[in-house]
Formats: sequence, structure tokens, C-alpha cells
Amino acid sequence: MPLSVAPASILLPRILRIGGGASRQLPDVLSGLGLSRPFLITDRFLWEQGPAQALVERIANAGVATRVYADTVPDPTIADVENCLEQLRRDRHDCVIGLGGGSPIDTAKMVAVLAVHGGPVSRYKVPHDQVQPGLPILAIPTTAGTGSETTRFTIITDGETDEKMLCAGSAYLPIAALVDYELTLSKPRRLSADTGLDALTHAIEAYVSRKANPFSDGMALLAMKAIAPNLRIVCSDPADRRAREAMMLGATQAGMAFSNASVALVHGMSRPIGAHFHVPHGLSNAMLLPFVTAFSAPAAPARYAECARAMGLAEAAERDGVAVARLVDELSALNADLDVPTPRTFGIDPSEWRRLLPNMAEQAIASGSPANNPRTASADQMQDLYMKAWDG
Amino acid sequence: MPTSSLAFPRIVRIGGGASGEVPEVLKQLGFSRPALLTGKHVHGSGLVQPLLDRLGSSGIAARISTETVPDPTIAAVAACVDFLREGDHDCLIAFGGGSVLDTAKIAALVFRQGGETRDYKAPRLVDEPGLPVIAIPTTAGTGSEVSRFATAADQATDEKMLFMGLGFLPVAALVDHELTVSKPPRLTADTGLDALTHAIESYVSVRANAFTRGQALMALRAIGPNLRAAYRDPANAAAREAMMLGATYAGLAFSNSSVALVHALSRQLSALFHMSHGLSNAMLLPTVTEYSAPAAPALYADCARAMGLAAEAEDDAVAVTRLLAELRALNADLEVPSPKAFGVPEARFEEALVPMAERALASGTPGVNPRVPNVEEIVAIYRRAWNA
Repeated sequence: MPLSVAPASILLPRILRIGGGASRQLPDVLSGLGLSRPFLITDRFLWEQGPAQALVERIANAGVATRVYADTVPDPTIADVENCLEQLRRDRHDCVIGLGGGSPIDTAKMVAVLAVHGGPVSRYKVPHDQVQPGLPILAIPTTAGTGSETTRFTIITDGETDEKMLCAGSAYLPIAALVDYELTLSKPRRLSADTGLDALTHAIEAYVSRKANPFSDGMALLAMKAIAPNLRIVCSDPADRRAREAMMLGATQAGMAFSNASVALVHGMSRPIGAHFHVPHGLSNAMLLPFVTAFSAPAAPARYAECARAMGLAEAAERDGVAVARLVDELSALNADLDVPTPRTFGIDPSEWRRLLPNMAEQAIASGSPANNPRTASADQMQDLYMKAWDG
Repeated sequence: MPTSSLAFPRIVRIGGGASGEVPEVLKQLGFSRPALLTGKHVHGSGLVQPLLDRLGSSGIAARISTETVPDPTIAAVAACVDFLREGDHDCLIAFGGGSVLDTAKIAALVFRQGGETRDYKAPRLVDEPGLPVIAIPTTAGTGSEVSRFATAADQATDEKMLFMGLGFLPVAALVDHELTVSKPPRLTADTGLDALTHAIESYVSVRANAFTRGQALMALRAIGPNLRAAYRDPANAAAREAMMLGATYAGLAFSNSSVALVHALSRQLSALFHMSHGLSNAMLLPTVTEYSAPAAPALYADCARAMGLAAEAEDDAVAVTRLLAELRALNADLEVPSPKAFGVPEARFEEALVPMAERALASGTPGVNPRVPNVEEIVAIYRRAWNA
């Protein structure tokens, strides 16, 4: 265990309900927190075909009326968030519930802050640190992926510039997270793969981050142990409850890891791909993960070797070099097995890709995440990495 | 697995110097009028003044009370409630070992909710909020800084009362191993063994869940290789840091699952014969583990592996044997006395056996142990530990 240099600032949700059926405890959690006027934010699919209506009925039976916003979109923009805020302001609310994948929860987080402190959204972009709390946030994830339910981050896209803005601060950390793997049983294969790879990326990046600390290290290793043996299973056998449960636990642990350390170069470079070409977040991470890992590992072989061991790829006694080589191989194999496309096979226009590379590298650097990477990448090196990933 | 209900302090600052960040943490929480509860010993150690200076330079004046006692009593809690009532406070900083932290947590709740301390004892689940507590532990042991439990004794009846619920969970914990460097070896041993007991018991508890098991393994990995080092070389900063982290992880683990048979039996022993909580746990840990392990060998083997006593590939049986040997060796190396060597009179011990066993069973805690004993079995465990 490394001696930490400065105290680590760990933030945790006060309440974490975890396990099959946890989401059904929403009325109990609300009343325990003394909250009675929730505004629930979700998306159209979860409202019409998912668990959202049943949950709202369950709260109603407990005597709590909920207003619902079911129009969140993937990769929410400033305009989407403002639209949601306008709906919230039509009545009085004492909390916000985000139900869904990363996008509804991220929308809920930003709306909760805007409801108390006002806009414009752009002023909340890092390096701004939003300490003053907004409305209390409750998060109910329906994917095993983003970990957003336990993080102090939200990502909102600037629709004008196609920039994914990272916003950080304790105000975005939910007061309660209800982590119910049963909500993930119906996830389609592509979503299971993308979100699962996102969680794996969170765990690895948190562990190798320059902001890692003993607490985040412990959580990251637990996350990798939970995710690695189960990611392929949830993709091949969606109904495997044990694997779903492990993935959900791992995604939450990974969220607690990176929220209290950071992400790094993969995320820094991945956000611009998502913003410009509308590639789902987990997928753009996965496209980069093997290449960025191969690039970064020489700067911190012992750390990457520990990741390999936690993932069951190497024995404790095997040398770091062996373990790191297995890790890079496994990340490539995972992409192949889970049919992760390259940017090219995803259908991105080659000339647009090349034209935007300098801009993407700049946006990556500006987000601050690459500065946490164990190996510093210049803008040129990032462009090289983007080109390596292009064809897989 | 059914739903598990976990709770954490929102803010945890961990690392050397973390206690110096108390002004920032107060600001983050929006508090400005703290009371500070500590112990005479801690106060005398010179650790408190730097904290008051930090607060002062941020323009915060804290009223301070040192009216605490080891193994908190309801009288000490009442004194703290009175102290809080005399001031105008928006939070309570608890600075000390488990006794100070537990006293503060209970007093903050009684101060805010009113009534008598006794009204809130278990089995009542107290989820109502108390005055917010910022906990700064000076020992690596109880995990009270991150737990929703506290204990206090009724000094008149020697009854040890358990308090539980979100109302006893601090809002922030500042976990600073530099505060533990001056701990004497006896305290290092007792509190460290307490933390080890928390980690093992929460891992094997029938109330454990996948999340708390992870926390418990983190604790065992930190404590296993560092307890002797912290005991033998008090200035070993790496060992102190690992022990402090391990104690906090163990607190997160048991607060969100439970303790088990060691604690059930230990509470009776420490209340009746006035020995420290960590010490009475340690006296019982090897014997209780030996009794319990056959019911859950795989779980105890995981503990052994996390402590570095067995390789992943080794059999559960081998790992469990090593665990038992290590727990005995730890007690020998850390000079943990048996009840007999501690000076408990044999006749009093013998006549207390059945009442202690009955009270232990009545506490309900043995029911979460992987192997649930009856009165006769508990008496046999106490007797085996008598001169172990």
C-alpha cells in the first residue's frame, strides 16, 4: 500500500440500498430522508416499457405524489437540461430522482443544482467545483455501467460546440443510491457490453490515476474482481442473475473508486468521440481502452499488473511484465468477443475523423482528465492513439 | 441476495494531516458553531491545540469539553448533553478514541431529540437525526467514526447498552493516522485487535452482503500484515496508516452488516470485569473462531487469504488452520492476557458464566454467527478462553 501524500477527500452517498428489489424501497428511503415532493427524471423507454410507472405508483401508494419528466435523451445537452428544469419549476419539489442509465441520472444531477443555484450551465464546467448543495438527488440506475449513482460528476453536452462538459463537485453526489440489478435483466446485449466495458474502464483508470488513494484503490480492485469474470456472461446469457448482480455491484464499486480518485486518458479522449460522432459513452471508451492501456502501462507497470491480477489474468507470483501483456491482450479480446466496433466500422466518416482529430485532442486536454494519467500524452500522441484505434 | 441497506458518512477525509482539514469540512457542510468533545488524556497529549488553532485561524471558536470517561456511561452522555445545551451549536466535533466518539454520537442524538439516553437503546432503531457529528478518531480501532452504532453502560447496573441507527452515524469522518503515532503499545494492540475482530466478524456474519464483504477484505489486507509492526514500532508511519485505514474499512463493513459471536460474548466480559472492549474481544477471538469455523470454512479461509496467511490455491482447511494459529500467535505476540492472567477471580468467573451466556444470547447477536451456540456451548467457550 503506497503512503499517501495528501489526505484523500472521499465522498460517499449517505444511503446505499443494494440488491434485488432495492428500487422498490424508494418510498421507505424518501420517508427516511424526510422528502415528500419528488420530481422523477427518466426517459421515454423506461417510462413506457420499463420500471418507472410501477415505481411512481409505489410512491403514490405511500402517499407521495410525484411529477415525472420522461423526455431525457442520450448525452443530454444544455437545452435538454434547461427544458427539464423548466418542467421542474412548474411546481415545488424537495428532491430529484434520476432513474435510468447515465443520461437520466446526469440530467437529474444538473437539474438539481440549477434548481437552487440557476444557470447558465456553462459556468459549472470544470475546474468549477460545485460544493454548495442543490436539491437532494436520489439515483436509481438501470444499467450496470456509469456508476453515476455514487459519483460527484455529471456530463452535459454543449450542443453549440459538441463539447462534453465535465461538471464536478459534492453537489452532484446523490444522497441515496438504490442499486437494483433486477432492473438490468432486460438490458439488450449491446447495452450490457457497452455499459459493462464503461465500468471496467472506470475501475482501471481509477486504479492507475495519479489521484488514486488507498480507499479508491481498494474499491477499484473489488470492482475489477466483480466485473472481469462476469462481463462476457451477461452478454451471452442476459438472464444470469448472479452475473447481473456481480456486474451491478462492480459498476457501483467502480463509481465509488473513480469518483474518489479520477478517470484518466481513456475518458479524456473518449468524450470528444462521443460528442462529435454520437458514439455511446461506453463504446467510445472501449474503442480506446486497449490502445491507451498499451500506451500508458510502461509508466506504471506495477499498477497495471495489479489490475491484471485482480481480473484473474495473472497469478500473484507472476512478473509485472507478463501480467501487463495479458491485460492488454484481454482488453483486445474483450472488444472482439463483445463485438465492439472500431470508429471505422461504427461508420464514422474518415475525412471527418481526420479533420476533427486536432480539435478532439484539444478538448481531451481541456477536460483535465488526461493529466491524471500515469503517462502524459501530448496532443500529437493523442492523435496517434486516435489513429491506432481507428482501425482497431 | 435480498436488499442490503447501507449508510456512510457523506465526507471521509483519509490520510496524514486529514484532521487539519476540519475547517474546510465544516465549511463544506455549512457549519460554523462547533462544540468539541474530547478526553482528558487526548487533551493532555497536545493533539487538541493544533486543531483549535486551525479552527481559530478560520475564525471559528469551538467550546470544548473534556468530560468523557473510558467505556462511556450514561452519566458521561448526560454531562455532554448538558454541555451542548449551554451553548449554541450547529455541530459536534468528536476528537478521541471510541469512548469519546460513542459518547458524542449518543449525546448529539439525545440533545437533538430530547428525552433520556435509555429511551434510545436497542432494539429501538433510531433513524432520526441528531446534532451532526464530525468524528476524528485518535485510535485505529473502533471504526465508530463511520458506524451507526454506539455503546454506553449504565454505571449503576453495569448494563452495557447498544445504540443503533442512522441517528448515530457521523456526517463526516477525518481519519488521520498521524494522531495515532503516540498511542502506547497496549492501546495499539487492543484497538488493532478490535478492528481485526470487526473485519472477521462482519465477513462471516449471516448479515454480510457482497458490498460489506469487499470492505471487510480491504480491512483484512490492511490490518493483517501491519498489526505487529504498529505494535512493535510505534513510529512506523506506513504501518500506522494501514492500521488506521483498516480500522475505518472494518467500521464500514460491520456498520453495514453486523458483528457476531465474539462481540456478543465480549460485551459481557468487559462490562462485568471492567476490561477494555478490544482486549476482551481479543481474549475470545481465537476460541470463538475455532468454534465457528467448521460452520463456514470457506468464509474463514477467505479471511486467512486476505490476511496473507494462505495462497489463493491452498485448501480452505489449510487456510482455516493457519488463521487459528495466527490469531493465537497474535495474542501471544501482542501480550493479550487470558481472563485468568488479567486477574479475574476464578470463583467470580465461574459463577458469572451462565448469566453471561444468557445475556449474550438475549442480545440477539449470536444469531448472526455462522454457528449459533446454546447456553452450554457459550459456557464452554468462556471456559476454554479462561486460561488460553
